[in-house]
Amino acid sequence: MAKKILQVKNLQVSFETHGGEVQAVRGITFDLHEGETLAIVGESGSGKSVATKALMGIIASNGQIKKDSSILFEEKEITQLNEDELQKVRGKDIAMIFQDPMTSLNPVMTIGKQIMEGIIKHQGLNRSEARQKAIELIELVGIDQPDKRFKQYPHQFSGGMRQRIVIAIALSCNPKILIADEPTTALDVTIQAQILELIKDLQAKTGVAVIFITHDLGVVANVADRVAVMYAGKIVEIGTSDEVFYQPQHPYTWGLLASMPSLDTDDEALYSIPGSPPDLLNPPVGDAFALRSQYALKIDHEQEPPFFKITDTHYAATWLLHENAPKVTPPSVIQKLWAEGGK
Amino acid sequence: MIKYILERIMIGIVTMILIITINFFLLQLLPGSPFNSEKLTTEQIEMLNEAYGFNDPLPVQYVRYLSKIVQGDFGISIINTNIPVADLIYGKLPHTIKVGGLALLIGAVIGLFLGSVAALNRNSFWDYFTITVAILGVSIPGFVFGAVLQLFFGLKLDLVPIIYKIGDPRSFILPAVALAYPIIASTARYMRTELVEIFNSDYILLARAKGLTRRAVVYKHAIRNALIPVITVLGPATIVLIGGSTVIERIFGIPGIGNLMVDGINTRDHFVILGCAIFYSLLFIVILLIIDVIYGVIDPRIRVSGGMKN
Repeated sequence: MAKKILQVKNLQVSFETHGGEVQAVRGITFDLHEGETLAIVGESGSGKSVATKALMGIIASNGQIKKDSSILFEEKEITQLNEDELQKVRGKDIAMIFQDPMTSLNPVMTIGKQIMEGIIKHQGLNRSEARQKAIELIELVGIDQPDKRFKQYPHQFSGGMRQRIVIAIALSCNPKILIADEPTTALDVTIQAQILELIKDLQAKTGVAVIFITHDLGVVANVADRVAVMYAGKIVEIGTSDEVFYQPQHPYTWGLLASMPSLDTDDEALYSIPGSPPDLLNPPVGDAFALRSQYALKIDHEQEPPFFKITDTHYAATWLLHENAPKVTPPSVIQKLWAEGGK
Repeated sequence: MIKYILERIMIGIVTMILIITINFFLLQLLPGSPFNSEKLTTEQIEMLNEAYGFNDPLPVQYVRYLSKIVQGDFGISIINTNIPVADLIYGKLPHTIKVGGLALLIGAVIGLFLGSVAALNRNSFWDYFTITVAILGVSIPGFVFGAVLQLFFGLKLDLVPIIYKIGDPRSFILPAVALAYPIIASTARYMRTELVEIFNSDYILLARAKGLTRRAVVYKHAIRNALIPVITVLGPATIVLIGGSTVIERIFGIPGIGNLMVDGINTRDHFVILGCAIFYSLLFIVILLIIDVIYGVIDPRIRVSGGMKN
C-alpha cells in the first residue's frame, strides 16, 4: 500500500457559543495514503466539514482544536504550527474546493488574479510567469479561450465553470492533498458528473490525494477508494468502498444505504432514519446513534463502542460486532447488499 | 456606461423641474410676505407687490420664474437690496463647501477606519468604542453636539475658536467635526456590519485556504467588497450635511448657504429660498450620480450590466 501522507489521531474540535461548548468533532482518527481518494460521508452537522477545515487550520475564530488532537502531515504536526507556518501549508501542500462555486470566488477580482495569488505566494514566480501558469491552469480545467477568460470576473462564468476555476486555484501549486468539500452539491446533475470526471482526471494526472466530503452516496461510489462514515462528530465506520457499500456493519451505515433511492426497489416507500442527530452541546453517552437505532443494545446507551476490526481495512464502532452481542437481522436492503457482496 | 450616465442626467433634469414646481407652489402656502415691516404703508406694500410681480396670477408667475431659470437667472433677493440670488449663493458657496467638504472627508475616513478596526477586532475595546460612538452619533442632535464642542474645546480648553472666522483654518475644525459626527456614526456602523458579513463569506475562506496572509485577505479581498455597499451611505450623508449645515452654520456663525436659506425663510425672501432649495437639490442629484459612477468603477458586475464593453 502507498505511503501515508496524512495521519489524523483523536482530532477534536469544539466551538465556543453562547449556549456553551459545541463538540463538533469528537475524536476522529484516520489515515490518508498518497494518491488515494477517501470519502467522508455523513449527514449535515456530522462534523465532516469542520474536521477537514481543521486540517488546514481554517476553522471559524470561535473554534478550537483540542489538546490531545494530532494531525501529522509528512512529519509536520499541523496542530503545533503557528499562523505563518500554516500559511505555507495552505494552498501549497493542502488545498481545498468549496461547496458553492457561486460564492467562493471574490466578485470584484478577475479570475486570473485570483488564480495567480497562490502561485505568486507559494512558487515565487514573477507576475508574467504566474500569468502564464494561470492561463495554462484555466485550459487544464477545460475552459476555452483561456487568454480571454483570464481577464474576466466571476459573474461572467456559469456555476460549473466557476467550480472549474476553484479547482484550478486549488491545483495551482501542485498540492499533495486536495480537500473537496461537497464540490458538486450546489451544481445541477449533468454538471456534477463533469466536475467529478474533472477531479478524477486531474487526480490521475497529478497523483494528488483527495479527501472527498459528501452526503451523496452515489458520488461516493463513483469516486472513492475508501469511505469513512461520520455521525455526531465521530467516525462510526471506515473501510474500502466495496466493504462499506457491500458489507456495512454499523446500523447508521445501514440507515444511510437504506435511505438511498435506487431504481430497482419498487416495492416500498423510501426509507428514512427516524429522529434527528443529537445536540452536540450535550453529546449523548455511549453510541450517539443508539437513540435513533432499532438495533441499539443496552450497552449502547452506557458505553461508547470501540472500533471492531472486520478486515485489515474495515473497522466499525458498534457493539453489534462484539462476540457476545446477539445476532441481529439487518434491513432487507442491506441483506441484499451483503448477498451481492458475496458474504 | 455613457448611455447610462446620459439617462441619469435626463432623469435628473426631470427631477429638478418637479422640485422647482413643488417648491414654488409650496412657498405660496408660507404665511407672511417679504414686505412685513411695520414702517411700510398699505399703499407702499401694494406698490412693491406690483413691482415684483406678486400680484400676477400664480401660473403667470410660475411660467415667468421657469423661463428665467432656463436663462440662468434665479431672481433677485428682495431683502438684500436686489442682489441676484445666483450671486448671493456663489458668494456663500466657498464657506459651505470648505466646512461641508472637510466634514465629509473626516466623516468618511474616520467612519471607515473605526468600522474596519471594530470588525477586525470583534468584542474588543475598539469594537465597543465604535458601537458607542455610532449610537451617540445617530441619537444626539447636531445642535447639541455642536454646542457641547464649543463649550468644551472652545471655551473650557480654549484649543480652537468657537466662532467661524474667514481666513482662520482653525476655526473650521469645530463645525466640521460637528457636521461629520453623524456621518462617522453611520459609516462606521455600516462598514463594521459589512466587513463582519464578508469575513464569514466563502471567498474569504478560499482566500485563506490559498495561504494568503491575513493582511492580504483583509486588504485585497475584504475591504474592497465592503466598500461597495458602504458607498451607498454617502448619499444619505449628503442629506445629513445639507440638513446639518443649516443648523451648524447658525451655531458657528458661518456665512454659508445654510445660513442664507434660514435667513431667507425668516424674511420670506421668496427667490432666495427657491434658489437655495434648487442648489441643494442639484448638489444631491449630482452626488448620487457620482456615487453611481463610482459603483461602476469598483464593482465589475455593475460595469458590465451598465452596457460597458470590457
